[in-house]
Amino acid sequence: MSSKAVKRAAGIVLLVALLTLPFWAGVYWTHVAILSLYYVIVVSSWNLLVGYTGQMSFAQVSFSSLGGYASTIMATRLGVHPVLGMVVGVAAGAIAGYLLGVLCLRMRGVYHSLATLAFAEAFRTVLNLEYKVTRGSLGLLSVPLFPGTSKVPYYFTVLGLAACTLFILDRIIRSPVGFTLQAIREDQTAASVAGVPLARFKLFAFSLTAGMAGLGGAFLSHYIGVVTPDWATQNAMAFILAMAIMGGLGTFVGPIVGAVTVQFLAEYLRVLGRYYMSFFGLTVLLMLRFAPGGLLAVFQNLRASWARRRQPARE
Amino acid sequence: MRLTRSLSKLVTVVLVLALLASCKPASPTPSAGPAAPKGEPIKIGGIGPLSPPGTPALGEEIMRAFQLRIDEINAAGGLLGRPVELVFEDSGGAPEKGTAAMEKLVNKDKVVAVAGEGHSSALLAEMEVAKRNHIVLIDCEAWSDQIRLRGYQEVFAIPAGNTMFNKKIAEFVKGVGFQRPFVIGEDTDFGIESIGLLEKAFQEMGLTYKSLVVDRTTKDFVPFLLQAKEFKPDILVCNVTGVGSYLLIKQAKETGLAPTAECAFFSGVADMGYPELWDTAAASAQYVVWETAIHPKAEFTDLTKPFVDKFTKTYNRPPTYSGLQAYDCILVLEEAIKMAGSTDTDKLIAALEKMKIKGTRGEISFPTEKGVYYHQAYVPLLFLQYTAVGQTPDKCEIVFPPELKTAPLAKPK
Amino acid sequence: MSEGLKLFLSYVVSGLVIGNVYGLMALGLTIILGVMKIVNFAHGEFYMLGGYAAYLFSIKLGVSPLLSIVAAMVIVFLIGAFVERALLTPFYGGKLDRPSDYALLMTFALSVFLMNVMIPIFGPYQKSAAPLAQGSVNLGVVQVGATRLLASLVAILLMALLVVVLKRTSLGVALRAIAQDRDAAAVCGIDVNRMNPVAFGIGTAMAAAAGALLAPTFLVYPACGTLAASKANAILVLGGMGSVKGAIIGALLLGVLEALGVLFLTPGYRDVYGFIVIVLVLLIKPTGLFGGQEI
Repeated sequence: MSSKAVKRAAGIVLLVALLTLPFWAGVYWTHVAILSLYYVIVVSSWNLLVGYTGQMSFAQVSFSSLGGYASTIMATRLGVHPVLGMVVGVAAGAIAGYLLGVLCLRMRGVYHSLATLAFAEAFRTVLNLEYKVTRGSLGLLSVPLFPGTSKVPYYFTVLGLAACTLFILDRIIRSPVGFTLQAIREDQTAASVAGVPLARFKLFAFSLTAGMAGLGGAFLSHYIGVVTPDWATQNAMAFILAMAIMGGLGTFVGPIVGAVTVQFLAEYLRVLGRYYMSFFGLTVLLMLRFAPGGLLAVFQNLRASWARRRQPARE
Repeated sequence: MRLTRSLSKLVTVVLVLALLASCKPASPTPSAGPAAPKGEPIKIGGIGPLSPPGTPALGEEIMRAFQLRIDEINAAGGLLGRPVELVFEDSGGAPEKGTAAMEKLVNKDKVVAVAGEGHSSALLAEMEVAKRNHIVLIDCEAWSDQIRLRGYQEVFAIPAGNTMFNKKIAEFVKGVGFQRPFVIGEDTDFGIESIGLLEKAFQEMGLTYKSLVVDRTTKDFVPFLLQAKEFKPDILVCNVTGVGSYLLIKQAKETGLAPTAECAFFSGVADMGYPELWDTAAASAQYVVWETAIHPKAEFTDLTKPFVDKFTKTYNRPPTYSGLQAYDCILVLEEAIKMAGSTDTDKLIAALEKMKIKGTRGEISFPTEKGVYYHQAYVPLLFLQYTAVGQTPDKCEIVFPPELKTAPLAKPK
Repeated sequence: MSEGLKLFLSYVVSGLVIGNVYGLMALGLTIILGVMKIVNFAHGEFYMLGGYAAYLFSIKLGVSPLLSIVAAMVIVFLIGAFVERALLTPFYGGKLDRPSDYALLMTFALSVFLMNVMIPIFGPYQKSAAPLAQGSVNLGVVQVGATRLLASLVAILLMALLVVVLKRTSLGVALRAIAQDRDAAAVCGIDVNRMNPVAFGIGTAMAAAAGALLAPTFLVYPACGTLAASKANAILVLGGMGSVKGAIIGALLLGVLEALGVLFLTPGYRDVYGFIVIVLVLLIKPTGLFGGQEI
């Protein structure tokens, strides 16, 4: 059988496994899979802004938590159906992302990063202090998306959302828009000189990224049942960073691989109890230092060295 | 197509890890006693803050007290002839982490019941998991009224609720004769609820009062204390937990606000009972009034002293009332399992609602009337005052309630 | 003096007292930024390490508070230099696609690691360090803790010392040369690569000094560096990224701005003003009020 056919067969088997996961993985691991898919959405969209457009942002967690809060407030205070709440969550995220983009439009490099960090921290503080609206660090109790206690509908919902998100991102990246975004990453000045309306593209990237994060956050709030300011901390941002780095920043598959790996790693490392976060942090450090291209680069290097071994060097 | 390639890579990773996961042994837990009984262990889930943003000191104390009682149970032959095992998960005092920890305890470790938690925000999320999965959850040290008001049959509260607790504070303020209280509360459910409850009580008593909400993670309280000083209060009531509780005392003293001859200082948090108070607030903490549920001069039952002594000996530090409450959590679960003759949730709930047992702080029973005292055990509350620098809690004077008082309120010169 | 004015002045003075120490920390950040062109996202954690070092020396080993601060600075200098060698060298290697992103992410990951590794090492309970002084001092408009006041004065001393080193010693001249133009400095015979760990070490030592000075006042615990770092960042942006004069003035400005904010807006939002300041300054003058090429 040709290797292409083998790959295709494997692909089909794996796809089937993914589609039937809740039925063979058990309640607990389905829960972990749902969280992984949430991160796939948030990290992949972050990758569009940071990896493809080159605009560093520490505010991704602000947008996901904004989506969560917006959707929850809609559902609990205004009695709106959670699905409609999720739409509001996306809109809220997109608008906030647009605003942050406008703020950072003229900034470059470290200034840009610092501004997004300042925004993220200010947002978190506001979430804590405006307790009349958000109930502060107590958290806001949300409305479940589906009646009943089964995780199955949640799994398929987030799987669908993740697939849609990835599809949209894939289309954009492979279109002229994606090409332009990467040009902006490579050299903003050159792109601008070549006639690219920087503002329009950057704002597009900001809003889309933030809107998708809002979507993820809105879903998560209706799955976990509560949204809290902890979602908006830099510790939470570190997870997203870790996932993007582990997978490979600026590649399409990187965030997916990273999100799943880190989520599963996190569950494993639970047994380390107190040492868990330090070990996690150390792993990210070492990864970044010795394999900055992420796991994907490691994969590719391994593949390349296998291929080289199979074909002896030509004279 | 790129999408199928990525998808297949994703799925490969997922499957490989899932396979590995199924081979993983259960998480390690503290060891059982030397003469452990045989049989399928009864797993009791423990949950609490072992890392920030929660208060790790509290989580550690809860875990240790749990383990102490469970070791005693195993040494005496186990429960229903089976050994008892504690599986303790870190909730970080945060709702998201707490939910994840609960999911693991309930769905992966398959515990028969869960006990613990010291942070209301986390418990409020954890109790949703308990309800969804119909598992008993015993609240160890979370005070929010919301926990009681939700009326979930699975949830039972060992510590005082905010209403119970703040009612006592208001009684104390009035009883000792203060006229102008200033309240500082942290921006959590505990702090905000207490401010609301205290303001209502003060208003009914006709006192002039003012309050302020502060970020729990603040370290520099001076601007807030300066505002308080402007109000010229005669008592500063602080409901801020963690490191902030000590910093407040120190900074209040430094700015000349309290404790002084003109203004007393009351702090209603568990952190007042830890020796770290003296390491950090040092001399400023003399004359601080605080609230607790234990004191040798008001020893509650014959279970109290043995536990306190054993805990102190094993861990080189005395327990605070949180430790006592934690011990009581296991006591009630133990009794419920014995009464029910099984670990079935419905039977446990029935047993818990019927029981009247002796704990370390008095008799424990759980009323079933809905409202702010639903499934709420009664908690005796004492107001102690540190009258010398470096004083240990058991040497404090009791300044309220009058029937247990050992000395009047002391004031600095 | 009217009550309102008195209150305002009390806020300003107490803000300035603490602000000086954060200024010292910001100075360290400035040096790292100026010489290495890296924003150290782990700066708060070096502050925290300084605090723990002060605790170790003054409480566990009974060393005098002043000496403990010096010891903290030395130890963290060494740690900083080691971190630079171990983790940050790829930044200059020329092999990275996005070196500034790398430095950002690396120092961010370092901060997460350091913050969490303290928990198993020192335990969850917060620590203090031996205070430089006891009691409080009456400054007229406000009563201030004596420890804080002394910490503030020592910070001013250290900042002055640093300025002297930068302006008068050959080490300082070398650092400033690199900050101005790295390649030209190399051409002039300065071993730029060997200066990197030195610069990073000095910068982190300043943060450690701030941490050690404030340890008795604000206590030491794994997350204590986060707030300090945000203040240092605000000062950095306010005063100028890479300007020593700017860092000093920025600290004073931040103290006053926060006092104003507390007085006229809500006190609870005090720590948010720092962020708002950062964003506003970056919008109007992205290099900060005094920012430029030199340090």
